[in-house]
Amino acid sequence: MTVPVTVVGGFLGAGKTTLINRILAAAPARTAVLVNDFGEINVDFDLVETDDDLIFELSGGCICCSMAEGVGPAIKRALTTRPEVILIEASGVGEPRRVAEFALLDPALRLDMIVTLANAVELSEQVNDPLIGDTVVRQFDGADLIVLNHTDTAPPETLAEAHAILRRLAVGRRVVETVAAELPLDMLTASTHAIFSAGPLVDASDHDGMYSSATFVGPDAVERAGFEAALTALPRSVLRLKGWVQITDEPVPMLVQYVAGRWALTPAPDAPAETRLVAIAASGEMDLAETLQNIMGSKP
Amino acid sequence: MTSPITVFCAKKIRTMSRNRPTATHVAVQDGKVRAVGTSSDLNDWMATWPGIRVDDRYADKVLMPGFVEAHGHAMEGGVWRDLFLGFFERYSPEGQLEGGLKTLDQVLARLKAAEAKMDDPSKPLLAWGYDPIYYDNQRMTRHQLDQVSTTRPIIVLHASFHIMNVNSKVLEMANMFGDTGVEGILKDDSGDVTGELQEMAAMFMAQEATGAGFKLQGISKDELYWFGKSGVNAGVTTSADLSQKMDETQLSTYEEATGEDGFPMRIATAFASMMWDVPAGVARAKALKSRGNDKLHFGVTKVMTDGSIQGFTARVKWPGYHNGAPNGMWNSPPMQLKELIKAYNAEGLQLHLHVNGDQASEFVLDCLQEALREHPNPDHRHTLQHCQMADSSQFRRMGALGICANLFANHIYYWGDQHYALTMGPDRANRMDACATALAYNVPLAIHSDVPVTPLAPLFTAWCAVNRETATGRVLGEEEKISVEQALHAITLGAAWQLKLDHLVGSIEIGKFADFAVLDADPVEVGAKALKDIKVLGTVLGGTPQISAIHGAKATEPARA
Repeated sequence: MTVPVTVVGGFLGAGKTTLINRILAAAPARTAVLVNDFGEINVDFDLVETDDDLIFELSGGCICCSMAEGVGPAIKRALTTRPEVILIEASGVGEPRRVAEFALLDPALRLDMIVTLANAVELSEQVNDPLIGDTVVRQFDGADLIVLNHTDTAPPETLAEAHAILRRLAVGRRVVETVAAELPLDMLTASTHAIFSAGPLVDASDHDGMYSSATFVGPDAVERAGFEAALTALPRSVLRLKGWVQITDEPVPMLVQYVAGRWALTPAPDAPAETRLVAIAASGEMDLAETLQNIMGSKP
Repeated sequence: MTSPITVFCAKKIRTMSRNRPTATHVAVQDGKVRAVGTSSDLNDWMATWPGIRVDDRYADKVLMPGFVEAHGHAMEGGVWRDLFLGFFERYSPEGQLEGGLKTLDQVLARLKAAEAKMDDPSKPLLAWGYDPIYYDNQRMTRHQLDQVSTTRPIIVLHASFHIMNVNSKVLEMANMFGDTGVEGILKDDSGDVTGELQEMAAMFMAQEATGAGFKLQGISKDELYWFGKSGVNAGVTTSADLSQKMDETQLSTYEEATGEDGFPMRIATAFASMMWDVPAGVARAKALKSRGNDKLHFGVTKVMTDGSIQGFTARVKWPGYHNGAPNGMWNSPPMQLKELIKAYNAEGLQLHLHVNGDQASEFVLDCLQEALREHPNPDHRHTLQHCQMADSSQFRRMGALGICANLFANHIYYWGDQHYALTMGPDRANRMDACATALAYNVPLAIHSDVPVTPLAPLFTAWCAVNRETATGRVLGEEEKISVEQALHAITLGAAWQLKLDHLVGSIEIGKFADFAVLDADPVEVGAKALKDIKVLGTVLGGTPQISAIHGAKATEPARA
């Protein structure tokens, strides 16, 4: 069983630590966290709320230091603790896409999601700063989801400018607005543990109708080709879809992990012999329940 | 009961001290200089101190203060376990001449020769120092490496440390064929995986899959000895080591090695601030100041800011890279660097800051100015390391702020042609590593090799600063040449000053360590052009002769062809 990896990137002050704590709240107990706080005054890993033995510190510095004490060795150390999930914080100048390549290459891992945070208030100033502009821009490369955070303190024209910048820099990427990095818990984790056994994750925060979620439960099996085509055709507003599906000609249920247009189907022999899916979308553009029904080839 | 006194007599002793610039005799007691003089002084010494022993092994040699390498890495002691594939020749610590591979075919031939000598057929062949910039940026492919072996994993790490080439065996073991979605696994236009790997993930996973990795960090006692031997070969008696994490485990290795009588060089190890969070790092750096011994010195804290110019990772100001390459990379967000600099400065710690590009040097000057205004730090000797692209305005500020410059003079020879044509263009290539400008604005100057990035050889580094010739013979910036005397100061007292060791090393005068470089000629007499041809026969460290593995044992034989 591969371990899903989530990479959280973004420049200083975009809300990485806040988001990491939110993901931890939604994630399984054994989530290993790799934090990149070297050279910082405020030691952020003190702010990360999880067991100390599941926190792995990443070293900064030159390439030689990174080879010895960077992400690669930290992942190897983390894997010895048998985590269910690995969460990696890219450094403030790191490119999340490059960090995510570890998850693409290591057979023990599976890339779940790359999230890059942007500071709605400061984005415009940052991308125009000759010292850091190009660094901030590179962090959006390859992001599955861009979280435009701190929207509550951004005046309307600043927020509009931030959206315009993201449309230009991150063409076709999914962008959601947040205050204090509040995203739906089901969005934040690949975990399927709690989805149906104990009902959907209890989400205490009010997302102000910005997201919709829907579930589908049914006994029927679907054809692989049709199902894959339906996943590929999902609208851009669907951020995550996860669960199990019965595929005709497959002996065991298949685990579905869809994040922002990228998806994987893997055998899940321990899953119940039925189809159970949950989807989370930015709301307002479609009827998510209907979309799910369509994927499964049945009429609502 | 006084300890015995040994007098070394030489053809000439160039002391680098103001009061007695030249001499022929130096008396050594307890590892320190007891007196400096001539044969007539020797008569007085013999009358005053009975039992003097006279050692005339250097009677036809020239002694100078042991050279001080102001920017090197103990990694030099570890890299030689793997095969060196450099374009330029260089000596291993054992005195073996390696590299000098002028074509890609020669590189492959060297790999084949090394492969043929390996017994265990499954052991990976690791090589380093390959730099495609010298081969018209011709790309090495897996197919070429497959000619060396299809069964043995082969990894060639580039001189930049940011790229590697591997053969098909490695790609197979690391599952790198097919649709990985990893941009760091390069493909050619036809979609064939080329074997060139970029970025940490692909490079790390390739090493993992073969079960063998390069030794870039984590220094063993043996490796420290090899580093020391490289020093002896180059006339270096004190070398900076920039930098190490220096936790207790590593410190005990360093203390054990350097505490032994036979350890051949003094090491000034800088503390790697970027490997600690700031509060813990400041505490550790302060604690280290009371550690060490005569051959192990602490006090300097290293800060990384940007990358390298030839790797296009240095942070440069407008108009950017000459060939249009995008700007380089910061090691940490600039505002975070500023907080770090302020925190260490506030505690009275001395900073050596890696800055290659002019945007990085300017930003660091801003940070230091603010830090010094908030927390004045008398005699701070903060030093900009490399500082290759600083313009005259930045040097004027450095002079005003009392900041030192340790310039990378070797770059002019090794990458000067590439800087002229590709990275910086003629205007900025001509003013890079501006030694004369630094001195004109009273900036305390040292020059360095960054070993193992370029070979450890201070006389060669001095030759670079004095002649400013590239590998193809182009002179970069006539106006930035310095004199032989100024260059010799930079590789002795100038470097010692920046390490805050100038009261102990860097000149031959009473009370200082009896550390000498043993040369076959006087650098001042041979003149600018011949500086690099002077043979180093070894060193004297604390009064004990050390023999060069290159020229020491066979000092009378003719030079290599």
